[in-house]
Amino acid sequence: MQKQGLLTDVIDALCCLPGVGPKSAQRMALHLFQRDRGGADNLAKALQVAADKLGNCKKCRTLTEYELCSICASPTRDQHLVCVVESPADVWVINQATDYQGMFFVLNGRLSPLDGIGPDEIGIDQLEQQLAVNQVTELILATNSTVEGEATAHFIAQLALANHVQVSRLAHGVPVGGELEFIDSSTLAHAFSGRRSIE
Amino acid sequence: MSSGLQACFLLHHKPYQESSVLIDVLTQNSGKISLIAKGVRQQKAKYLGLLRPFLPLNISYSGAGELKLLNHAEAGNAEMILPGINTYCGFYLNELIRYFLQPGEPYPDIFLAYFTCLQQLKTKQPIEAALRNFEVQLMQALGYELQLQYDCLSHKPIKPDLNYHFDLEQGPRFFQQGKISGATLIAMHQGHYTNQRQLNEAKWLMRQVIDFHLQGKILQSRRLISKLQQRPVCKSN
Ligand SMILES: [Zn+2]
Repeated sequence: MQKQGLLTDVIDALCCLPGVGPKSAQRMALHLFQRDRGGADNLAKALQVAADKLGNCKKCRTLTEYELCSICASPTRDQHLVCVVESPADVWVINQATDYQGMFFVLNGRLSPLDGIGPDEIGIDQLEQQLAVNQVTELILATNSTVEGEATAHFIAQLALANHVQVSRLAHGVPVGGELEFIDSSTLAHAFSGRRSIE
Repeated sequence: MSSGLQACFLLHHKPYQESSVLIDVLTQNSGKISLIAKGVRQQKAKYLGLLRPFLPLNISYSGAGELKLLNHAEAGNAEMILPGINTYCGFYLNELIRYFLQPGEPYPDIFLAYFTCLQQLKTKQPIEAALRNFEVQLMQALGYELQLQYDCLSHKPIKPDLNYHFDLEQGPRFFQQGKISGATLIAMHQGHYTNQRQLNEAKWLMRQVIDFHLQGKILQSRRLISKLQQRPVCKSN
């Protein structure tokens, strides 16, 4: 196959996706242009529109084409609760899996000094402004249970406490259906230190 | 070439392709190594939660090139959860090691110093002395002449009650208006600090030394720690 031209451009462009190397990119491109021209057309249009219009919600920083995302714009959600997550995907997961009715704040990352990601890069100033205006009473820290996620949670917790906002952290523990014997020692240590009395 | 199990700590990890991770580790006997850990980002992956900073690991790997393949990893027997701001100090150690160590060169002294420092970061005790000791040991193990025992002009032993100017290439020399007291230099050499003045002076001096060798590179973790310290709620380190 020729190494330049429109098809090669598409293949190269597809390689920007995580987990897509030249082989899979080639397979995708050939599929689109050999078998599914309509699909190619739809994909191109959807991508173009999204690339033009998709931005971050002014309030919670999740991805949206509007000024405010649907959650922030909703009149029924509890403005006093804010759940801090690392990515927009976490918003969807929490919305699907729980009956949480509060607001979100999306960091779009985590503190990771070795990758050059500090407070400015994850919107800490914006979060702090929201904490300062007194509407928020509880901040729920739902960053990942990684070292970086914990460090981020700790940092934000300090901010919240300085603003007299109550802070909670997602519990870590034994997975539902999990057997103790097969759980790694640090998960077990977390689960143990975060044990609850049975009511 | 395949190796037996070796003690190490993870310094840095970043996602690679769909399910793999590229990691840098500090090993006990082989120094800093870059590895690819395949398939570890799947939901049921064996090492999920294991490949993270500050956790003592035992690993085996293979490969002759600069990037090795992780064959096996298991947790060592100590749990390392660094409380609060100490996590950022841990990142600071990792950033120093990642910057200063040449890949594949053995630095057993640095491994030991790192391990010792982490042990102290695990506790809620004051940690300034632990950080300074690590910095001093790191500079010395790297072969940067961090000379703390003699006046570099007179070659006389450092006296605790004199002040010194510290020339970053030559070492300390007597100077009545110098910013570093002899007692601080002795404390740094012995790794044992007895008052806050020594700790402050040592912090200031090690910052000059490290910045000199960083040749303009900015340490992000240091930036982050100073941001934390700007907040009234965070203690100084
Ligand atoms: Zn929003």
